[in-house]
Amino acid sequence: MTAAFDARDVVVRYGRRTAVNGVSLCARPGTILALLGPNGAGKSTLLRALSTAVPPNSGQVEVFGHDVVRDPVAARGRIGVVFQERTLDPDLSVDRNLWFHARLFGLSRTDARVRIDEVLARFGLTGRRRDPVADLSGGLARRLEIARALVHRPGLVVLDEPTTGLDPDARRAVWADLRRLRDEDQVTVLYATHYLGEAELADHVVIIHSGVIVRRGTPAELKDGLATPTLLLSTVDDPVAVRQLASAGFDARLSPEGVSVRCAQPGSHIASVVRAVTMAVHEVTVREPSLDDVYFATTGGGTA
Amino acid sequence: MTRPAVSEVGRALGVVAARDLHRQARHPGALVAQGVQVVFFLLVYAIGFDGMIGSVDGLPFSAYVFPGIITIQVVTLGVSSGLTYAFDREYGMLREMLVAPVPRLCLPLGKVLATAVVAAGQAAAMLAFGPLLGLPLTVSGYVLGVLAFAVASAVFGLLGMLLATLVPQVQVLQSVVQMAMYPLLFLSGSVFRPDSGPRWLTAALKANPMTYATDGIRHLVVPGHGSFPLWLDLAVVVGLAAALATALRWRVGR
Repeated sequence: MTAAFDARDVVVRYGRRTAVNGVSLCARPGTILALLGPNGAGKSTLLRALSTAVPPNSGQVEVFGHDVVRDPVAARGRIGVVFQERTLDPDLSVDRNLWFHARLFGLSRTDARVRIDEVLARFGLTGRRRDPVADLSGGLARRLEIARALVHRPGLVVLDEPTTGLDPDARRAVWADLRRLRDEDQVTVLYATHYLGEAELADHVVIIHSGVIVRRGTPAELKDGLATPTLLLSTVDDPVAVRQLASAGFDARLSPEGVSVRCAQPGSHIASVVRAVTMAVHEVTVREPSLDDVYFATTGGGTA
Repeated sequence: MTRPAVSEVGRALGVVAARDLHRQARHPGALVAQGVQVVFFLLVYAIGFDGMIGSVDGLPFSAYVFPGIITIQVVTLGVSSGLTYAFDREYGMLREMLVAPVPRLCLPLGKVLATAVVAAGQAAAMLAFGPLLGLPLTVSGYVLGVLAFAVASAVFGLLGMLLATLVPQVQVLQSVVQMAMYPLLFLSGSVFRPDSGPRWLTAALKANPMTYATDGIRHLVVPGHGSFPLWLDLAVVVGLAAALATALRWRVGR
């Protein structure tokens, strides 16, 4: 079976800066793959290379067997792209935005009409089809962008931070849409995200840092690979507590939830951990590994 | 490599052009402003100078410069069309079009096509008033003139698009377009005979490709009133178009 996309040893440079450094990645049709990493990790650049927006300096990228450098037009025909920034035309209606996209992506007039009706119905936008895009809420505009990316029936949908700026309801709706694409249409979904919780929704997670892939696997595999539970401490001064625990020989890090201390048998270490810090400890909890732990352990705690 | 069929390229050009025209139709104020500009140019410049200058080559001055004034209008339209490319890039719409399965050159060329259509419409409306100024306009002169104005607008639209690919910031591009426009328009023989000035001015006029576009249009609209051979005018305009399209192709990639 032809891979939905196959990137091999991809290097992308912007001037002297290497944004993507020897990344190899592929996905079979009908899977959801998350790219997770801190700002500047190279996620968006990798998506841009896949969607032919930027040519790789070396390496090879194929989309359904079409090389993105040698045959970019054919590759583009199989990809739907949802950009991080809004790319809808605010001067046009919902209908017209889809119409010009459909026609530019090669659909005949008849097919375009049929397909636009389908995606509008599927994304709950039929009643808004005549509205100017400028009148749509952030959530509806995002759904429209996803709907637009699907008008030409791509086999691969690439989304860069698809839920940024959306409220929880809108985010949930977007994820339901993406899962339906995988389950009902066998579309491959590749997305970059900052949200660790959203990465858990993928079939496969790839953690990228400083332009290289540092870890990959299913969310369960990644958590199992870490295999070390964590003690979470809440203290009056977490940064100082981290320093004191580190000097006492513990693997302690600052995390969004407080101070995390990785240890094989946390239950037997609670007393010694609490003794190692000199300030008051409000709360101690034992937590099994999560994707957050994998992320922080892998990237060294970069901003997510 | 998959080569898109000619029909697919044609459709892509048509879609990009239709989208631009659709958007322009939603902002008719810009078209009205352009029309007012021409009326002022005619009233203040051409008709005002009529009494002072009298006739040129047997034509009233206003009739002689009338095709030149329309040329200024359509070339301005053409060069400024690069701004639509820059705005589309600034507001993200271009990104979406750049991942469409069409050769990227179709995007600026589609916009140039839209500009040519608008220019043809404007030229058709304006040129119809030519006989009122004493322009001896024939039907063939009218038709050829409208086509020539559209072509001139398209060729200089390629220049606008090339500038838009070279200058990433919209504000800077607006200044660059203004800077490019003044010498282009006023050193072109649009509003005076190209061989009527001092030697340095004539040399500057001959170095300006718009001079040949204006002269060629004058040949077609009022036969016998050009300053250079028509073949030379055509050769310069076609050569300029080829050079600009090649540079644009290189800038936008595949």
